[in-house]
Amino acid sequence: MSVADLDEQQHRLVLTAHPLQRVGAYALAELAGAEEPEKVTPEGFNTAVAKMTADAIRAAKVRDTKRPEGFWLKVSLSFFPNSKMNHNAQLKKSDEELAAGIRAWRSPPEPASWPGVRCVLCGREAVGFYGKVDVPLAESHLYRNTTPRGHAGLALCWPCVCSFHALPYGCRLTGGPSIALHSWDERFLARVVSRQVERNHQHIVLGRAADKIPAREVVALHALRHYGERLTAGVELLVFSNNNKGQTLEIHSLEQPLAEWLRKTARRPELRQGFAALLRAHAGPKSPGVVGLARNAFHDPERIPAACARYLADRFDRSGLVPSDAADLAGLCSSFAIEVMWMKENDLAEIKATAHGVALLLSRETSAGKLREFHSTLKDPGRMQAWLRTRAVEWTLNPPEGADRPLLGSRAFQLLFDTGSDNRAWFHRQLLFVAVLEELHRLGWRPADGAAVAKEITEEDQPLGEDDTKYLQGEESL
Amino acid sequence: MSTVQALEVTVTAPVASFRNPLYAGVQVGLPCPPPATVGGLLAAAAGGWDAVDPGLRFAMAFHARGQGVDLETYHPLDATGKKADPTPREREFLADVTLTVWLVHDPDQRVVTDLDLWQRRLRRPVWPLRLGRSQDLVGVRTRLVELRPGPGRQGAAVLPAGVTGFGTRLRLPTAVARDRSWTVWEDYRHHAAGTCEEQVPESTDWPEQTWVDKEGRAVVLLPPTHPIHAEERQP
Ligand SMILES: [Zn+2]
Repeated sequence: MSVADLDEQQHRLVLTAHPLQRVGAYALAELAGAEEPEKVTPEGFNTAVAKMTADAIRAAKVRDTKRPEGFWLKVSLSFFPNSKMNHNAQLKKSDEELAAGIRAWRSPPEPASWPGVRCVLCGREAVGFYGKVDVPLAESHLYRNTTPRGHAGLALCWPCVCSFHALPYGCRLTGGPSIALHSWDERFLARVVSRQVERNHQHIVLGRAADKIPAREVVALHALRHYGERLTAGVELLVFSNNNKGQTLEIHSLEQPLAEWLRKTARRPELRQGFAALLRAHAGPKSPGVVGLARNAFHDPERIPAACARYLADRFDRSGLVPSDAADLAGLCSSFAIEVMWMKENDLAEIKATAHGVALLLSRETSAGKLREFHSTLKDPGRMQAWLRTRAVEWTLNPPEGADRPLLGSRAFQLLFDTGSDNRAWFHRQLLFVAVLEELHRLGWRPADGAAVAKEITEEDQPLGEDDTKYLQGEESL
Repeated sequence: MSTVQALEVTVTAPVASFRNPLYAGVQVGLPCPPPATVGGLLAAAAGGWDAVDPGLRFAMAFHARGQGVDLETYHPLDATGKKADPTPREREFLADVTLTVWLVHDPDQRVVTDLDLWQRRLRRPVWPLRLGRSQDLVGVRTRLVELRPGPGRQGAAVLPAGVTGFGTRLRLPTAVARDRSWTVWEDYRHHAAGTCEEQVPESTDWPEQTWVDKEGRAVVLLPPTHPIHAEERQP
């Protein structure tokens, strides 16, 4: 390979298997004004690297992370600790010496010093060995557990090193651990990173501190719901710190069907109506619904229908009336079951048929007590089974008008109570309860011992919390 | 339809841990073993890579019944030669795991594997067999089974990403050069719960021939894991 080709190669971005390198490469592309990393020209690459170097020098000259304009310097400690940007020894240097040190750190090593091995990420000629100073979450230069004697760690080419230098531009910066969103859906990643680079302008270039975020998971939810196209892969939320006090990395993944469902609920009109109710269902006394929903989505998606069931039951308990948003939530839960949990339409129909029967029986009651009793069996499958069996006998002896099938078919029984490893009985019981309320709402059932109309009105008007209202308003442009 | 012979290898372990090699400073686990790890397990049984046919390919499925995080004592080797204090580090693990590997012999599809040889090797492995934890040996069972061409249930299969749209998309090490200078990464799909009922469609174009076993499980060969493929494919 000629020297010119080699030089050209060291100015071309490549996407590798490393999620953080990929986020950085997209960020660098955005700084270079290109749509994607592969389209960055050598000139664009140089311009972008020069921008990053200038930003680092400006931040380092602040010297004090506690000053209002010291935000980027503070953040850099969790990306590049011990670098020429922020090591203690730098503090005593003059501005000129400081800038020269940073420029040297951000310049490619001379070819004479290249180690003669390949970049471990992209396979091109490596320009040196790099450790924690340049690559977040690489082994510390102090340890030899994963690095041989005599070098600092990963063999990397210059464009891969620069991708890591650009990583902070593509992350949500908090001052503490940083948040990167990653996906193997290239279009989504490009979109998310480019928006983030735009937003980080004020934190990195102007040194302004970032706003507090309600929860890291919300960052991902927000990005998903603002994305206009179908997602072709899941989304990973990487929360990490390369700080000297302790390197940390948490990876939370959202599989593609759930990511796509969350995205679509912002867009499909019939689902969007229920979304406000979904937020109410996830709101806690101190935390907005959007936080609860985002957390459930990332940590335990099956809790989403469970939160709907609990919310509806609570509202019923307080007002003695079937909540008016029961139908909206039931619609969301059904689409969740089919699209996210891959439940078969027939199985969902079986559960709905049982719900229909249960609702028919309950609607004959003039008291709210029986519904409360049914709800309490959600905690105890044995009791729910007994409850349904008793009603099934009743049903057979005294079938309601038009009843042409048993209350509890064998398939429904299996779905609700089989504890086999591939049956989600718990999830199915939550679905059943939500569907019962939906049916009761449809039947217009009003127990005689329900609360006074005045109370009903206050319950029906129960507003969305302030943060959730703001969140929904922010989505109105979608 | 004609059936083909396969050696079904079932590997079980109470605890396993597959570290994501991209992050050296923290211990992050993968939800299933990378094909390179499974290839390494087979090579350990054979006595080393030199004893393994460079063209060897296998199909696999993996399921863990639980997962968790524990603390493991990390013994830092200090670069300056000073004695460093051991430190606790969090380490992700998988519990009660079952790895199923299929070695297939189907000369019509140019898949030639000496199943008897592999059965002998796995009964009396040259090196101890492990799954990501040096302190735990694994249990290994082998049996000869019949497969037939056709679509099968995805379940807990680890599949090349191109053959299915279901399950989590993962980029995993497939072949690692012997001097560790280069790793071939490929895209896969894996449904960790193992309940994916989707049928993996039958493909007529080799190398992604789909077979199905008697239990209806899809069996699809993964790319070869021999280090020579990393050494030859290094750019
Ligand atoms: Zn590289």
